[in-house]
Amino acid sequence: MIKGIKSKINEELFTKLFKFSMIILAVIAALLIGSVFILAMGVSPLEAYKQMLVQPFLSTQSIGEIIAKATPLIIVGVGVAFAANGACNNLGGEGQLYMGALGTIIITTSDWVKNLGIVGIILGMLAGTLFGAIWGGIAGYFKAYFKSSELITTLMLNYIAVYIIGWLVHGPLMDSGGINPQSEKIASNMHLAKLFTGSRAHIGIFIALACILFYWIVLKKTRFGYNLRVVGISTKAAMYSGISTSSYYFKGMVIAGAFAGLAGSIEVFGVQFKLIENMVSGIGITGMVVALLGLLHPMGILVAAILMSSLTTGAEIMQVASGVPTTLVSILQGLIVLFVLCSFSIKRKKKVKVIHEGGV
Amino acid sequence: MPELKPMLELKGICKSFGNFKANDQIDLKIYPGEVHAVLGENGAGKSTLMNIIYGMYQQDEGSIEKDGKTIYIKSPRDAMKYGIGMVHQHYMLVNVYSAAENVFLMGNDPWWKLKNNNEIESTLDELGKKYGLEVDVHSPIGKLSIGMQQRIEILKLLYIGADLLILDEPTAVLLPQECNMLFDTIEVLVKHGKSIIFISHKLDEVMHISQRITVLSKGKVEGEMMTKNADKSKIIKMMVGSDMEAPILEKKQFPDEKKEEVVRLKDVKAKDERGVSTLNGVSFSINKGEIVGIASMEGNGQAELAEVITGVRKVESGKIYIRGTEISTITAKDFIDNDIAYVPSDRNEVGTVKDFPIYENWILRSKEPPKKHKLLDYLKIKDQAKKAIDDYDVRTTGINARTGNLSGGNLQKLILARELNKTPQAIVCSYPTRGLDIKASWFIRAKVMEMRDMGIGVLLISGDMEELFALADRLIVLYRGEVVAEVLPQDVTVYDVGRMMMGVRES
Repeated sequence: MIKGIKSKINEELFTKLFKFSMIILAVIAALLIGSVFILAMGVSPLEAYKQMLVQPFLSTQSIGEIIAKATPLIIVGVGVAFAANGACNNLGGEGQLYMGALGTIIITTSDWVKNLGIVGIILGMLAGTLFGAIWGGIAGYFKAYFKSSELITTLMLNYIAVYIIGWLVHGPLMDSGGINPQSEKIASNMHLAKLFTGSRAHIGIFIALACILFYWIVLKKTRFGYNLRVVGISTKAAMYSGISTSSYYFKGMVIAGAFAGLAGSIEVFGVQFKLIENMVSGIGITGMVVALLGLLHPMGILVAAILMSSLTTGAEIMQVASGVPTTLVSILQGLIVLFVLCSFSIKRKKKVKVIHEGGV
Repeated sequence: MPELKPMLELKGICKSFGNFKANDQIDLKIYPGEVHAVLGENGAGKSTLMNIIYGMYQQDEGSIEKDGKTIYIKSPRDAMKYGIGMVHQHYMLVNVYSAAENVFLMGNDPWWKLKNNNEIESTLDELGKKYGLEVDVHSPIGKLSIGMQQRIEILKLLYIGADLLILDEPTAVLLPQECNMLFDTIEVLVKHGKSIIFISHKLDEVMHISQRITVLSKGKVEGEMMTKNADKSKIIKMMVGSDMEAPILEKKQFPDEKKEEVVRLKDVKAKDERGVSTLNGVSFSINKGEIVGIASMEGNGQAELAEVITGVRKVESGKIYIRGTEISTITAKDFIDNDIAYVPSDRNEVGTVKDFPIYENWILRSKEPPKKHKLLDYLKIKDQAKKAIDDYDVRTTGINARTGNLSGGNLQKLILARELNKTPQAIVCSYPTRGLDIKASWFIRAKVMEMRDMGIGVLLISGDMEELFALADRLIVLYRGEVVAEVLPQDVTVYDVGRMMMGVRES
């Protein structure tokens, strides 16, 4: 009976389900270890976890918060996943986000775009995407043509971006009317519409969902996505097929940067409305975690983004309700990533099917 | 020698993997001073049986007796203790160590024993003299020829005192001359009372060297006989089953005026991965409807030749023309667009992406995959792949199977189906039957002939001299990246070509 069902289920799907259940186990293990920390603070872990894991889904306000937080994570995650399919590890989400936000602010606060409304939003997003793409593309170019590790170049580019922003908001881009180190605000007719009142969630989530759809189509249904995946798995097979690996490394990083730039742009239009220091701190790295936890699968990225954003939202609730600091969630996120990465090495025991050499 | 007691006796050996019976009630007797050939197709159970004798696996049922006593072999170290040694197809030698150091690594010395090179070397010299195995004991293994490495492997086993040597396809990588040396060595070993289990696909050499033959098929002993009473065609039938016929191979020669050139190389030079120049000015052409065979020892530029003709490797200098037009060699794209197909020697890493399902591998190296509204039309792609695996009898669970799970023969059939589906002008086949068994090799060879008869220009690179002589219409011999000879196979002998492969120019 079981055998019959097994043979019907696609082998691939079975492996994916196994991986997925391993991730769930890893999350549970992380929570168990996290409870030690909570106990040490003299709080009941059950109570704290109830606040953290259940409470966020019980009010529209906190659901809105989850959506608001998940929006940039999804978009950055999609970008990271693109690059990862082409064997590039993009750790530069942070810098690319900032550059995207910068591009957006430069365009939208300029005199001739200021009052364009929806057109201004589109122009701003294009500029953000372009800026992010350039920032990712620099790392991609170095990898493709100088063989420098993108792990290092993207990290370094993060620092460069962060300090450029710091200098700009204290100097050339500082709002002339204010005293805080921040840029001029964008016009209110360029704010993205809220999903519902009383929360920060905005219609940027639909752009994020569109990004996931785009990712799935490009990766699975186009020659470009096919070639990218070939490069990601085997450079030898790529050369055999006439695919230039270096050009795909470059393209992969440009796309990763473009998505992160778009995410930065949407943060400006939907949440921040201005450029400040630390505005997107952590999103770049968390976005990478989202892509990895989601196994680079479109739905996986969506689920992982919601998981990460609900953990952060829940932590804020937990802090208020039971006094456990939000930093606990950083510990938990760290533990989850650690365990999930470990769980990837656990392989399902496969029954090897022996297929006999074909008689002609 | 019926009065002799067997040195090694296997009784009713059974071994299963899951539901699959790899060995089923196998009896085998190896007598002292005898070469016993074990023949069989891939999947017949040879490897499993040898791994049981060598201690890599344990049998589920049955017993092993050595010199009349039942023994239990739990690991290769146990096997060595009982005097059983194996020369694997891929040599188990550390490339940067010398022969003496490799032997020390293998030895049973206690951990506190310091390495005494002089002692080992003098013992090796002694053994070498006794068995006629001349080797260089000082140089790092990586610097030595394949034949020399093999002699060191054998010496290593003699050093630890093995009296039963398992040789797994020992001639697969050797030159004809080196084969003869190996056969001489085997004769000396046997004279000294050692026994050899000789595993091979090549019937001719089995008939030449062995005294006894056991044929395995589908995990069972299909027949056992003395070699002097054996009949070649009967053995082949035993191995492959009675429903198969060997392909009929015949040569084709065109008069000059009928030749139509497809690919021409002019003074092509190329480097390998290490940046060493391995092709040093090669010029020749491939015509429509002929098979050009490349004979060369590994490492003499044939790998780079295959890659430059298919655009996978950039030329350093020189030109490549396809139907008279010069072509850029930066990526393989231009070559694909000009209908040059390629069956690479590395089926797993190069010819396919092993994590992709069969249908995705179907559009690898394709000029224009089926599309619908600008997107890949996977319905059509799957249809084509389905048809191909039916036409070429690729045994698999379906087009969704990972190609990494296919056996060598099935994978090769899939690659061949894919490359021929593009109706190429020319095709490069690099070691197309390496590691395949008789049935799969026959199939591939018949396809190569079929391609030629369809008017495709075929470049055949092979390490199997028998195959080259049987298939090629024209032979080109490469030595150190240069063409040293171009001959017609019917004008020369295997030994002539073997000499040319070592750099002796055609007189």
